[in-house]
Amino acid sequence: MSAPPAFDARSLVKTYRNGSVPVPALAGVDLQVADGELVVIAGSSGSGKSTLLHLLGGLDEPDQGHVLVSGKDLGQCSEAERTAIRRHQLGFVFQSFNLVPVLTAFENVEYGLWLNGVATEERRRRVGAALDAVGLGDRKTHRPDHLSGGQRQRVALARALVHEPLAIIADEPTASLDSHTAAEILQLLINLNATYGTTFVFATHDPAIIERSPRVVHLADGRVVDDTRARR
Amino acid sequence: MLPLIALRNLARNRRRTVLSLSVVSFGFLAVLLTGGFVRQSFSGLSEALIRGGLGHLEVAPGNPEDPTAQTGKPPAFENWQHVRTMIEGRGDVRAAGATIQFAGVATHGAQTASVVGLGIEPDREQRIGTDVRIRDGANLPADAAAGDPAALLGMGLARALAAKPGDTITLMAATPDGSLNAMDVLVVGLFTTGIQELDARMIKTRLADAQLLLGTEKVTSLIVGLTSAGITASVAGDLRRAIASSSPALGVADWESRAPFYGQVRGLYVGIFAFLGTIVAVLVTLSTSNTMLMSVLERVREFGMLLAIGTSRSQIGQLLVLEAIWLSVIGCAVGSVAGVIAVMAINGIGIKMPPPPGAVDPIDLALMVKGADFALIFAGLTVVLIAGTIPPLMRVFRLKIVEALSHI
Repeated sequence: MSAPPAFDARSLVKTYRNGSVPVPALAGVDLQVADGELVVIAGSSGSGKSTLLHLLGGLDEPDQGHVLVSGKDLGQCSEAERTAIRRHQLGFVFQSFNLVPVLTAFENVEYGLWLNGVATEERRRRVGAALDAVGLGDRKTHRPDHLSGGQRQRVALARALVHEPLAIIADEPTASLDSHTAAEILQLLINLNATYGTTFVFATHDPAIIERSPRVVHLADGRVVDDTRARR
Repeated sequence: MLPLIALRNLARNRRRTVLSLSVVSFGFLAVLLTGGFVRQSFSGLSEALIRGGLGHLEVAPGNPEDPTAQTGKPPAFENWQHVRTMIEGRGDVRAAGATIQFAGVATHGAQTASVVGLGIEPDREQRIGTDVRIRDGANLPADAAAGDPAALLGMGLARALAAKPGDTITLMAATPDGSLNAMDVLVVGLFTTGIQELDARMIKTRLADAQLLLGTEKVTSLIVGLTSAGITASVAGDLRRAIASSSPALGVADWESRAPFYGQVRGLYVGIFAFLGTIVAVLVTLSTSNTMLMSVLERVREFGMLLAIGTSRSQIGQLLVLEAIWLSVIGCAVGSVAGVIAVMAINGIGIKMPPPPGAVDPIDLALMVKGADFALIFAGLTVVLIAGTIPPLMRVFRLKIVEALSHI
């Protein structure tokens, strides 16, 4: 029996309300992401990329449809169970880095392990390795306000990676970066995916990134309009 | 890790944190100093009452807890010497002095005044530690049998009689059989009870002189002085058991039950203290709650991120509570240092307060602070500060992760 996909989204519908006006965000999205896959969700602003990532990560609930993370239906989970899934099985990277400003790079990464109840010595070892993996081994004691945008995103990536999650969800992780740094981050994601086999799902509308991604799912008006796998 | 984050979060907005810490520190200081003043007042007042003549306990026929029980009645304590021997046989009793209360009239030349008389044993008063505040002349001679009948006059009574030490006045009182008796007594000194109304009427004689005036060998009561006020209740219990079979029946009353105004003063002070404490608690709660709510509103996106990566809402709640606890720890530490300095300074300077209403002497402004006060105020303020986190906690518990992440 084959392992369940990392993400299995079925007929997702999500509508927000702007006052009394319904604003459809997703209008029936089906998406399967295999374990170890790197998938880019592409689309213009308002196409539903972020909403899809929020639903895949259990940050929000669909109006209709189901999201299964490694075979577990998030709709059947309590808030505590969804929190535990996010804590143990998923990693998140956000557009605006979202680091804890009062913690150093090391402590920001360590926080995820602390949440998972990892012992202190083991935390130190794994945080050091994670920061080395993202090329920030010499910036451990720096606080976020003493790091560049690219360095902050690397710290966020290390934090998402350090507890060895099933998958990392990244919402426009390069949008706040210059093109050179964005390319570096993308390459880092590809390398980490190849090295650790971690599933990556991230949203972007950067054509340069879309061009280099092995699988691109295009969204428009809340629907999947194209799902392309690169032939390499 | 949460305590570390909580501590560092306090440094985010230093001005606001300093303001909150100032509120906590001043609140701590206010409660500490007020509490110290109230305790000193209670202690001073109780000590003044005990040493002013009440002693720790009174043993008398009937119910000595009723302050009007002896009024207007002749002395009725017959076997008092036997009882005294029993009481003074205890190791925790300094002395048991016999007293006679009487009412009468004093004349000096053309001056006449009604008096409230008290016959006492000067030697036993000394052993009990009674504080006799002589303002002119000398105390009553300790030897009960020495010399002519002698008396101490209250300051107001002396003015009313135009008497001074060395003068002889005539004292008249009713004997138990209803006849009037009179004796000349030598004024050996003037004293104050500390209360103007009493000073205007009070005369003290030796027990033997009072018994001679009243024509009786009985006494009104025994005033018992103990080695420590803390054992008053237990000794009272022992004595009640020991005299349970006395005939006629004897009662034992502690000093507090015989000084009802002490309870009234205590109630008043406790009320003032509670009112002040409530104001401090409300100020601290409002101030810190507002500070923390502002802090939460500034960190909505961060809380969204923390929730997204697997932090539970209760852990974020713990973070806010820890921030409140840090505020309390630091604020109370600063308040403690300031409090110790203030207490030492105030007690060292020796500030005099005007006499309270009805009193004669100015009182020292002194503070009595105990180590437990610091812990109690810290605990109280911590509870208040944690209560102040309820509004921000409610805000956090209502957060929707997606909305929080997009919060600007």
